[in-house]
Amino acid sequence: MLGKLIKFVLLTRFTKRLLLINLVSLLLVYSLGGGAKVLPQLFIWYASIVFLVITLTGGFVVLKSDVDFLFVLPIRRSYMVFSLFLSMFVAYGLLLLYLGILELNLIPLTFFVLNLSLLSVLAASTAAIASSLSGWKRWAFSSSLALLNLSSLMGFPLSPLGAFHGLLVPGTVSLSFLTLVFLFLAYRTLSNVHLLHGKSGNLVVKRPVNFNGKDAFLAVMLRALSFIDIGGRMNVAGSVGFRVLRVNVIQALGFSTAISIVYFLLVKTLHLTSFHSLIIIYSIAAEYSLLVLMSQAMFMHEPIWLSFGVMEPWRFARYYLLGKATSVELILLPFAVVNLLNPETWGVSLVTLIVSPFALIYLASITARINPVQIRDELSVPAPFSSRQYFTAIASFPVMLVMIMGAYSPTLLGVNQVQVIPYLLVADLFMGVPFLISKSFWRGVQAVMIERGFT
Amino acid sequence: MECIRVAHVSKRYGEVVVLDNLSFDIPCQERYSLLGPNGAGKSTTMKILAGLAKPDSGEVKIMGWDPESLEAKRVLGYLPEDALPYRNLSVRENLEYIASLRELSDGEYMVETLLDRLGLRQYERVQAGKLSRGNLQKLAIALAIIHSPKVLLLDEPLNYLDIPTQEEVISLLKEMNSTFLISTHIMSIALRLTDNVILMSHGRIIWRGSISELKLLGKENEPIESVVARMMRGAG
Repeated sequence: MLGKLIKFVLLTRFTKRLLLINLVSLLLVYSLGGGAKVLPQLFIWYASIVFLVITLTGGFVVLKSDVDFLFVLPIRRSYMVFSLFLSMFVAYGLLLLYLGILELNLIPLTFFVLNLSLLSVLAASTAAIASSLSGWKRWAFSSSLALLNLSSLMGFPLSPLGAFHGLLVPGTVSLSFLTLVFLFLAYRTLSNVHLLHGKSGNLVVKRPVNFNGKDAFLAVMLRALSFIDIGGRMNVAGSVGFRVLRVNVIQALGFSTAISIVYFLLVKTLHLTSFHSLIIIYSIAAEYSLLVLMSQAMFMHEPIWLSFGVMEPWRFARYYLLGKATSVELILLPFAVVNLLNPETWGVSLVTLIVSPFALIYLASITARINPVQIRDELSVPAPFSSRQYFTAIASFPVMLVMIMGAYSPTLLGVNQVQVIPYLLVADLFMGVPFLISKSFWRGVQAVMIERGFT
Repeated sequence: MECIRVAHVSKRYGEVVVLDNLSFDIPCQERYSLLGPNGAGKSTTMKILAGLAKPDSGEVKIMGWDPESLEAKRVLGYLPEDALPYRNLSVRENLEYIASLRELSDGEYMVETLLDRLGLRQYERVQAGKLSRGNLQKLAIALAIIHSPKVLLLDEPLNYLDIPTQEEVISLLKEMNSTFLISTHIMSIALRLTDNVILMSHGRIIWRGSISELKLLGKENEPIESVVARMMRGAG
C-alpha cells in the first residue's frame, strides 16, 4: 500500500515527461556551463534563500485533488505524511540541483552527490518542522537557519553549506549531523503536520479604494496604483504557493525607499564599490525576481468573465498592463535614484527606469499566453508542474539578457550611459509595445484561458 | 426581433465535438432555459454567447452584434458557473470597479441598491476572496446585473444560495425586463425563472418549446423531471 501511495503522490506532482525535461535541462545547463569558473558564494546565497523561503512558508505540498480525494481515503495518516515528505525531498532536490549543478566544477562528485542529497533531506525536514511553528518561533527558526547557512561564507566550520566553500570534510560532517537531528525532529513533528490549509476568517480592507465616478481607464489605473498583487509559488513544488497578496503601493514604496537607503549606505560605508560587478548582478537578479513574481500574479486572480466581459480583451489588457507597469516603476524608483548616486551602478538605474516597466509587460503577456493559471482555491495548487512552465522560463530569457546588457554595458563597453539609452528604448519597443497594440494576441490569450478553465 | 441568434454553430475541443451545428433564436424579452445533462455543451454555448469563446463555424449575434464587440458587451450580462469576482477587492470595491469599467451613469445608485437587495451590506468591506461560497455567488450575481443588461446569460445562478436568498434573487430577476437564457440542469429553476425550454444533448438541440408544452408531453401525474430525463435518454 505504501509503495503504491508513494508512486501515486510522486506522479501527481512530477510527471514522467517533466522528469525527462528536467534531466535534459540539467545536462544542458551543465554542458553549457561545465567549464565555467563559478562563484561558490552564489550557491550559498541561493541555498540560504531557498531555506529561508521554505521555513517561512513551511508546509507540505498539498494539491487541491489531495484535499478533495486523497485525504478522505482510508489510508494511515503516517503513510500519507511520509509520501508527502518524499515528494518534497524530490522537489527540493531538483531545485537545489538546478542551483548547484555548476558546483560540480569545484567539488568532487561523491561529495557533491552526498551534500546535495543531505541538503534535500534537510530542506524537507525543515519544512515539516516549520509547519508546526507559528509567529515569532518560525521567524527565529528561519533566521537562525539562514545565519547558520550564510556563516559558511565566513568559514564557519559547523555551517551545513561549508562543503561548498572550501570546508569539504568538516562541512559534510556538520551537514550530516544537522540533517540527522532535523530528520529526527521532523519525524516527531510529522504526526502533527497540518495537511489541510483552512481559509482564514473575514478580512476587512482597511483602506478601501473609491472607484466611483472614474472612467474605465482611470478605474484600471487606480486599481493598479492602489495596490500590487505579489504572488507565485511561495514554496518549491508549490506547497503553499500561488498565494497572491494585496500590498498597498504607498506601503510598498515606503518599504522600497527604506531598503534603497540601507542598500546605498551599505555600499558606501562598507566600500563595496570594488565589488560593483556583484552588486550589479544581485540588483538585477532582485529586480528580475520582483518582475517575475508580479507578472505571475497579474492574471492569477483575474476573473475574465468580468475583465474581458466588460470590454474587449486587448483594451482591458492594454489598460491593465500600463497600470501595472506604472506601479512597478513607482515602487522601483527609489532604487533607480540611489543607483544614480553611484557612478558604478548607473547602468542598473537605466535598466530600472527604462527597461523594467516594459519587461513587466513582456513577462506578464507571455505568462498569460503560454502558461496562464487561475487561482480558484487559495492556498491549494491548481495544477501540478507542467512543461509549459519551462517554456515560459525560456521565453523570459530575453528580458534577463536585456537587463544584464543594459546594466553592464556602460562599464564593460566603456560607453557613455546616454549612448545606451537608445538601445534600451529599442529593446522596449520590441518587448512591450507589440503586446500593447496587438488585438489578435489577446484574443489568443482569452482562448487559451478559456481552454484552461478560467472563469 | 431576436436578441439572441445562434446559427449553425459548431465547436470542438481537440477531438471532442462540443457543439454540433447548433441553431436557435431567442426573441427579445423572452425567457428561456437551456437544459441538458452534464457535457451537453450548455456552458460552452453560454461562453460563446458571452464572447469569451469563438465557435469553429457558424454565426452568433447578440441584438444583431458580434458577441466580441463592445456594443454587445454593453447590453449583455453574463454569470458563469462558479463565478469568481476580484478576490483581492472588497465587495464594495468589486461593485464600484465594475460600475466604473462599464462607465455607468447611475453606478453609485446601483452599487447601493444591490448591496441592500442581496444582503451584502454587512460584508461591503470584506475581501471577496474571504467570503463564503454563498456570499461570493450573491456578489457575482450583483456584478452580472449591475448595468441592467438587456440580455442576461446565467449559468446555474442559484448554486450555493440558501432558500431565502434564492427567493430574493428570483424576485430580483423577475423584476428585470431582460431577455433571459438560463443554463441549468435543475428543472425547478427553469420552472421558476423561465417560460420556454431548449433541451440539449451531445451539442445538439433535441427539443424546444414552452414549459406548458413540455408538461403536456408527460403521462398522467408524471413529474416534469421524469419527462425531461426520458427525452434526454432518448436522445442519447
